[in-house]
Amino acid sequence: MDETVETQLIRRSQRGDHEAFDQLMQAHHERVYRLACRLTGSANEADGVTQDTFVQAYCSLRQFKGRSRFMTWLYSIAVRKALDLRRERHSSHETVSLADPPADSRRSSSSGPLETLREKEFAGLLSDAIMKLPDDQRAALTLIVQEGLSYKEVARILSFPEGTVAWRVWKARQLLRDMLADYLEP
Amino acid sequence: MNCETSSQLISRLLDNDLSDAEQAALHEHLAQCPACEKQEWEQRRLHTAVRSVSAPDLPPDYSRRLREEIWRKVKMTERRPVSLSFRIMAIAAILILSTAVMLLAWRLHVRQKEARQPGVAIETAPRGGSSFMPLPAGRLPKNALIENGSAEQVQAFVSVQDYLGGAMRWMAIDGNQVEVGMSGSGINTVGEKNAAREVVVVTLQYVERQSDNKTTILSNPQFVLLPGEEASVRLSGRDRDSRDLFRYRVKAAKEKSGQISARIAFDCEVPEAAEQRPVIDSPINAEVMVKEGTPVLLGASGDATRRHELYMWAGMRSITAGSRPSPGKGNHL
Repeated sequence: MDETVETQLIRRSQRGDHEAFDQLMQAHHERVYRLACRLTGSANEADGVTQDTFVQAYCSLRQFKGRSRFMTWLYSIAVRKALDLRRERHSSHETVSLADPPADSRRSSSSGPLETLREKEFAGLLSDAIMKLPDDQRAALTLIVQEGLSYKEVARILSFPEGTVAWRVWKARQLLRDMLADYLEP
Repeated sequence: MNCETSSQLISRLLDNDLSDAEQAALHEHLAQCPACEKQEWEQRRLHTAVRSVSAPDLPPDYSRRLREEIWRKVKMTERRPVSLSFRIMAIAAILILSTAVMLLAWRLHVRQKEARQPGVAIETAPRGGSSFMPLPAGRLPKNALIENGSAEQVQAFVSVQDYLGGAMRWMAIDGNQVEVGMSGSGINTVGEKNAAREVVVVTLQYVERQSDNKTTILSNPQFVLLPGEEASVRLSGRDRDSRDLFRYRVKAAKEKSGQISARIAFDCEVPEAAEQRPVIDSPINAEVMVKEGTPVLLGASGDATRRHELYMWAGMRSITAGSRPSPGKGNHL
């Protein structure tokens, strides 16, 4: 969405324009949902986190001063909701399989069936390994590597200094390398 | 550059966070260190793999269902608009309630404070027949203390009893005024030598209190009574220049509970020419149950500039005719 259009929609929403906020939701709900899926590992929980994120965003929209991107602000709410939920989670839940490689990746694979099987197995193990990371490291890795945000933006979202964000991403990579050492051999 | 620093720089390199100088230093190290070079390869492979892990596709029609659910939740959290008149009424109600609660708390505080003051008791209220409007008790004047103690009055009672041959039923003393009540039948009830008896000593005090809290004792009689006997007396006011006459009818006895029941009738006669003298609003007719030695306020009238209060306290004394009475309790307040 164009930044100027987004700014206008935000201002209208702050004045109580439901239609404007609805357009903001349409523009951003997919990214929020996918982030929630990566952080919670559960489709049901991701749905709840997405709903709670937009409800809170609507209720506290007047506090948004535009010092960061609207998407960054939404992410900061979503990350808090997701991490809070994981801390509270005790009951069983439906786990989303993030093991399937993306369609693009499957199409681009030119190797044989054995290699494809090995890639799928690796992707499944990698998803499991990511979910085993400590919450703060997984959040930093997800936002940096999978969402493509900068250290500065992630520092704002997680309320950490940039150096701490960099250290957590590095630490997450070290743990993943240790867990998947057999699959990373050249 | 050591290998750990190199490892951290590799991580930042993959995230496009290295400056040109840092990249040059890192590549220089990688060219010399096969272990770090291997790690750089592994990190790149891992980085690509992590980026390729996708979140599941959105469920069909998810966007519409999601927005409907969000708006439903938003409407639940939104407060209903409140009209201005309702807000004003609510604020007024809160203010009135707060004021009422504060007043109640203040009055309770004052009553508790008064109850703690020595010499003032309000736990026994006049009951039955009094048309006198009771007001909260003030502090009993300091000069209300019976300096010589009622034992002296009881001793006088015994002496007069001995002299009169035992026909005396009661005695009232106020300053230099002494009034006695005699039994018409002449039956000797107290005069028997060495017969142990109990008498009731009732003290009354009628005071005028002014706005500066200055108090004047207008009448302060002490009655020594045989239990159940009623004293009826008219006494002059303490102010020698006045011609006020205070009429008392006093009857008291000890109850099984140990308390003293008393019936007091009080009125005041004021000469018409002396308008500035105290005038009570109406006579006091009180019937009270009191603890020994504990003063009670029988009634009060007037306003903040001039108010009149009638206090009473009582006690039991053991006497033996022809001997000194026991000191008993409640001589000093």
